[in-house]
Amino acid sequence: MNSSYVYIYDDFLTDRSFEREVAGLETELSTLEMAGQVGRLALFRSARDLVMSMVDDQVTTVVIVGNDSTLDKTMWFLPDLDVTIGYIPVAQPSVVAELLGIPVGRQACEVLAARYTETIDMGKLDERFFLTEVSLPATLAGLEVDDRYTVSLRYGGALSIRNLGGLHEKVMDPADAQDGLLEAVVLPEIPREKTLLPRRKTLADPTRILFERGKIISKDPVEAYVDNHVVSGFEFQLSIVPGALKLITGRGRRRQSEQPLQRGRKNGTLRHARVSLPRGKDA
Amino acid sequence: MPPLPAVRTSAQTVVAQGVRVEGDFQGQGDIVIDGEVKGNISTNGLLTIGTHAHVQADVDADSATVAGRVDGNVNVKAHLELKATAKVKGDVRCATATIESGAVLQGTISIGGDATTSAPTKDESESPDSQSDE
Repeated sequence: MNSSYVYIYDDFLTDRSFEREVAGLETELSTLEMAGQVGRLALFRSARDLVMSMVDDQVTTVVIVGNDSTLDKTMWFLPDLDVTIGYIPVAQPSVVAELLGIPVGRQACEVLAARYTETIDMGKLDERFFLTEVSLPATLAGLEVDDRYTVSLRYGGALSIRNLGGLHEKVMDPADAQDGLLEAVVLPEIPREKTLLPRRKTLADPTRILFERGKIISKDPVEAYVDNHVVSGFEFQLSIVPGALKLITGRGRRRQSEQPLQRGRKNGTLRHARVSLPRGKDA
Repeated sequence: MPPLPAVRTSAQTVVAQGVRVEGDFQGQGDIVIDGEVKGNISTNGLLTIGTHAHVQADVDADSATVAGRVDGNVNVKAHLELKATAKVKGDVRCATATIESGAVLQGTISIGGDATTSAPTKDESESPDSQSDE
């Protein structure tokens, strides 16, 4: 057993349907001499307490095993630890795995073994870290940026604050998590002319603004999805912590940065790239 | 695993139609505006003001292309391009300019390093019939 590795398994992995998958992973990790101590998340067990109790001076790598929900349960405190984070996705949803270039299942062990480590930024919503994004799907909330200007939606729309990016209507929209900036993406709605169609439509071109500090403000209480975790309130402080997390990433992510930028819209905005996601068993 | 899309690396800010920005709007890279902006705009990159844009602000940019409506002074270090659909109400200063036929300018225009309030010369302006009240 390699004492520098700690594995945090999500509780859904105790399900019999994952027995073979988990056994395969453990065999692969043993072959690669990366098998380590295993901790299991449970419904009434604090993920933070579990991880803290397992991390000592010898531990250099904490590996999250599960799906994107498992990351949601742990990412909010992992930047506080002086360790490198790995991720083995074994089930859907695995959008974050896509963004990090990590394949689902046993192949992820090879990514872990290659140990290509990137230092990435973490966003902060009030005092909670987030990796991917904060999203308000239908809102009239505005954004105050760097105490200098406000961004508001005339008729409402969707507002996202991205660090690593996310999946929107089956379209992968990655952001640069190494630029020390958050990216606000606003998809406004405009009223239609008098037709039989729905009264409002979403405009195709999003507003994109890069910033370091900001505030989501709303007259009415709003719900914000932070890495798929829901918080509600009238006001949320936003900031970025550059280089907060050391993360093991895959070859797919390295390919992204080597590709040229995809431009082509009439006003110079960047075209969304369509990515087909692998189908798999939902957790 | 399918190839992933490219990550955006250039600092580009877009204010699209349906969005209103109020205050001191500053950018480090290129800015594209097709919505409403009220206050000030400044960038060290290219500023593009689209046909749907309504800018009620003083503008400061390295270079600019204007196709929409601007109510405010425009100060451009390098090249300014006024498209046929541009409507500028304010004073304009730039090093060089291209003004398309049909562009409306209500205010003074200064072109060149130490230009003051002179009208654009033929060499600097592609269209001598652009409307200006100077």
